Amino acid sequence: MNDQTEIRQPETEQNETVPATGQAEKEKSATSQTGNGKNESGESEAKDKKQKVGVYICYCGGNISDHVDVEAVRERMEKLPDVAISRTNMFMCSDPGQELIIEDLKNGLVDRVVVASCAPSLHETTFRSAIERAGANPFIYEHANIREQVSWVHHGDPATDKATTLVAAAAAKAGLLKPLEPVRVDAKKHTTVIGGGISGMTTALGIADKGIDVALIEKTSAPGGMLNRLDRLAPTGEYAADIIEKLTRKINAHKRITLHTDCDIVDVTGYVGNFVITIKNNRNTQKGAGSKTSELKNGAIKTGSIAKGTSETELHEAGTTGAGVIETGAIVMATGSHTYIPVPGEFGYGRNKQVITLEELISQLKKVNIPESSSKFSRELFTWNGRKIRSIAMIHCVGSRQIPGIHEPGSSGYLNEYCSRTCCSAMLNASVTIRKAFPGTTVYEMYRDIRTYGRGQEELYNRAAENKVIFMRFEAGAEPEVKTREELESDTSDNLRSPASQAFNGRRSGEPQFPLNVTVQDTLTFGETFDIPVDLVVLATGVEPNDVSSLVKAMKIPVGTDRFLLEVHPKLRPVEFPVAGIFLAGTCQAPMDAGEASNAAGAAAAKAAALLNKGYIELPPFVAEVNEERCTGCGSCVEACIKEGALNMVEIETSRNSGASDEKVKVARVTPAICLGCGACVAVCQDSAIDLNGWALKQYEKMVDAIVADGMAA
Amino acid sequence: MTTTIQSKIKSWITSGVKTGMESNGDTLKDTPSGSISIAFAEELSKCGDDTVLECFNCGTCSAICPLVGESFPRKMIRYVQIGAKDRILDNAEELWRCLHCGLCTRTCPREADPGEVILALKRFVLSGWRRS
Repeated sequence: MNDQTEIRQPETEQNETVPATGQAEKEKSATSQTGNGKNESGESEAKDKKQKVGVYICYCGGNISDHVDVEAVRERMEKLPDVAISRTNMFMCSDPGQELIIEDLKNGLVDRVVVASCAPSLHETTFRSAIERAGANPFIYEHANIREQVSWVHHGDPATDKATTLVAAAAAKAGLLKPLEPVRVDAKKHTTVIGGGISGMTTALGIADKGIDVALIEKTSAPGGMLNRLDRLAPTGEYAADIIEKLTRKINAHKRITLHTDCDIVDVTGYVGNFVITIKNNRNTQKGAGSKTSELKNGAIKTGSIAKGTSETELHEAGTTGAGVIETGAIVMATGSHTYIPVPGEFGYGRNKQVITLEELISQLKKVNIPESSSKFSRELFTWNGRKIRSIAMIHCVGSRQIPGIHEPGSSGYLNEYCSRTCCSAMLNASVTIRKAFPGTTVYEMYRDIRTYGRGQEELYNRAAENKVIFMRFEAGAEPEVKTREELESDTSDNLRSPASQAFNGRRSGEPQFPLNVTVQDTLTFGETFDIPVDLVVLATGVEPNDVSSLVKAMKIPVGTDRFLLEVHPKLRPVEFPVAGIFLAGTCQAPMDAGEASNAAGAAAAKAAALLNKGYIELPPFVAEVNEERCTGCGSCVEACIKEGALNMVEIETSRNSGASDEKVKVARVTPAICLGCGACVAVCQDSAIDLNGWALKQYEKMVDAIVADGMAA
Repeated sequence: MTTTIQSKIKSWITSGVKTGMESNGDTLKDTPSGSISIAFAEELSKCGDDTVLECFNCGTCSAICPLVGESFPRKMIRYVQIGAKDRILDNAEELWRCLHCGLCTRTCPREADPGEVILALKRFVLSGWRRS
């Protein structure tokens, strides 16, 4: 039992409980939708004639049948008055299994379907689409979970009895199911991508290539994001600037993309297919003609494409007013990240000009040409701030992998416990550049752990070793200490170390002394402590997500404890937010390199395009519906409603009393696209005038009756 | 006895002018932390080794070495890599225990040629000795 459970566990990743059938869909459609959903009322039909329920019970290849007597359950189901047919199959989800359902539906033997098998998250949609293929309405279906909720947790007769109860309840409910139509929402064929870095640009291009208009919003004056600050990218050595240029050129040439630079987002409202984004120009200082010129110079903003859009997109362009509104069908968050800013004094940063971040070093390396083959005897030295650099200490994991109790939070006030992933490769890339171009400069790489992860990037470590980079390893909590010569001298004045400056040996006579000393306890040299004289200290500062708290609040999207944005599920629903119509890509999600960011961008583009492609969006129909004949307009349901805009009081003309058509009454009305289907309104309605499609009160009652009925279980 | 020889060798080397390095005197021995000479690996290449920085400290050489325990020759190679000249001189006698069987060089996954590094170190120590 145990080992079986373990083996089968991976399949159950998204388990749902039986009574929550359909809950997943409800949540998916959850938050913010409205529109003109049409719910066919089949209630009268359901009342008039008795339904023919077909019950199909799955063996799951032993997963269920090893513990549940499936044939006994089938026999018991056959005795139920509502059940027309009861069948079993080794694998109901297999083609022959689905064919059983399709044949019975086509032959008119059944008109309501119950499958008792695994969790609905796995195969509810499978069976609904089988019913659809048979030409029936997919919502005449009810699912019973007898694997996760029965055979994996019970055995013997109790298992069979519990399965019987669950299937009987499902069959009872199925008898009252009515055909439903998905809620249909018209969607703007337009996407807004927030953030003009490599992820945002790639996403925009992907979506625009699918024929959907895109507004690309960038807060700075030019696209490129983090890549603007990078030099050669690992492992190919391609220039980041070249990549940005290529993408920018493509974006400027693309008639479906409108790039808004210098823009902040003020507000986001609406719901999937119909978001409204308010943007504001943040160029406060320069206005009018001046700013226009800079736009043109950057080649950033294309005028004209706004009016050209084929969708109903209205953009009241910023221009002179400095504000605009974008109506859009989907949103992609590509808001990116920035590098960690060391606390003043961290490894001497801020106190000493010779302690810099990797980002600062890289900006300097942009000007460096790597010679094809450097002379073996070249003694050329790297220069920083006019000073010749004989040796550099490169310290890894600054502001990354911080450990509570050992490290102090950075200037953001947070402890970054994650690995920033990209700094190892970036550091080694920089080291190799320096060693190749300036063979006279010695480079010490001091790391806690080192991993140039990713295809082709292991090569960087080899290249660093080939180029005689010296590696040293320290333990967390025993970080290298950076001290100026003066600090070291005062420290050691009463020490045995005299003259203190002896630590700064290694220089040639007549040369200036080293300004800094790095003391490191090197585990690669058996934990011995060394003083390393250096001219420059470089800190591999990690990645921190950009602050997008106002957007997070406006869109109600989830954020992880590490402050990165949180997708629904990394495997099952990557780059998606639980809020329908909003996606994410790039380093707003996690530290990743440019290649990975582009991958995520491609995924987000594919998902956004697939969502908007049809021009409308179908949402599950499990929402509240008002019986206007019964509604007395008391408004208690509107008060109880937890989702703003889902329920409203409206005045309608009624012929309820005398046929006088000008009489007006107040009734509650549901906006199906926004309704969460939570049922709070159903609970408070005194007139039973509001009910939940697919989860009606009557259906619940029937299920409870079936559960408490005697004699079903043997 | 050994200590005397050791300190003699050390003073010979550290006072040697051939290396072009500043004299550190005997104070090194007493310092709590070792100091590093950034030019040492290069210096050693004059004595016949140019592969020492290939080593990534896996320890295969020490595991295969039939003679000397205590992380030989890995430790020596590491000292060369980081330029801890004083540590090498402190333990210079270890160099003469090596029989040059060549097992370390044959098994080194990085082709860092540990055997040659040890030979180069011997030459380095001796060159300083002769000078004095």
